[in-house]
Amino acid sequence: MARIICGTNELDDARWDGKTIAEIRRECKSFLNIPDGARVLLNDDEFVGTEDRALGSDDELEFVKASGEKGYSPSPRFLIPSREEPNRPEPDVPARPIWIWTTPDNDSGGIAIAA
Amino acid sequence: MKRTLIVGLGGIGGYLAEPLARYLDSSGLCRELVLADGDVYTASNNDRQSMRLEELGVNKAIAHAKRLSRSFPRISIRSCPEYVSERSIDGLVVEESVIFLCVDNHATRKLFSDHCRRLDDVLLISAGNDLTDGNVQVYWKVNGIQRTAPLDKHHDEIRFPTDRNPAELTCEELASLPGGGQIIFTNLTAASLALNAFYAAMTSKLSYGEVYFDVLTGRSNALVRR
Repeated sequence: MARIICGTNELDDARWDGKTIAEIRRECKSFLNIPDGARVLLNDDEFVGTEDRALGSDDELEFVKASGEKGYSPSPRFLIPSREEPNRPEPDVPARPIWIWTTPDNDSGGIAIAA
Repeated sequence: MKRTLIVGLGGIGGYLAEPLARYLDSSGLCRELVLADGDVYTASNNDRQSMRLEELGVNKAIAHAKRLSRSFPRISIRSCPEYVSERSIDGLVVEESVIFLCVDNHATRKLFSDHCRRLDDVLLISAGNDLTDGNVQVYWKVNGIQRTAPLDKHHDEIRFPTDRNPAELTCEELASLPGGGQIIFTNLTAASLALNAFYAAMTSKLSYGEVYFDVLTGRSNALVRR
């Protein structure tokens, strides 16, 4: 079965056998996160030809992902706040309480403070 | 190996410098390590890069060279406190060099790719990352024979860079360069994979020319590059 690769994403599925490179690029773009204009390698070699070439069951097709630079990425950036976007709207999520346990002087138990 | 270079002592280069120096010192593989970077440490680097507070304002190459020299006196460690340019690359990257290229712009990657193509024996390992993913490319040439593809062969963004080498920028332009969001764990992964590729080449077991990784999914994918 044909193998399709983009970065760390891979597909091994006989359903792609016989599909053209153009069809695969279009149908797998979202699933494999294929960058616009990504260069194509066929069986580890630079592909020279038109993208209406159909994939054989032994073929390996790669859409080359660009080298990383400066931290810009299509990955979601919600993990850390961006210092470069001062007008970024606040997420619509209620604040969660922060529980701080303090050690009481008389050992009667912890005290939870919701902030 | 005549010389080992680390170009870029920021998020990636700053973390591979010590383990590399330790390995060179103990293995005796190479007794010359050159660190090159035109940047200085600023307060904002402290959240991610390997810096010490007393190194604020110090050139990154000089700072690391001082640290490593104290720990590994058997290696000759030199610093080149400027961005590598077309003018300086000939003197820095010589035959039988191993280069860890840890920069964040394609123009410098192209500079090194073009220069290394002209050499007969060279190992160029280029690492880069975005927020949570990245890649390491390896260009390896032995006795004039390319064992893996040049950096720009399958990467148009390197072959036709739209950014500029920092060596060509004025101080004002450098200060206004946008910084992307980065995560220390992604930098560490890129550094580790670069060192893995180095070890694989040194033991003649390197079977790939590029490896992609993603810290969120935990996946990495090593690919042949001819």
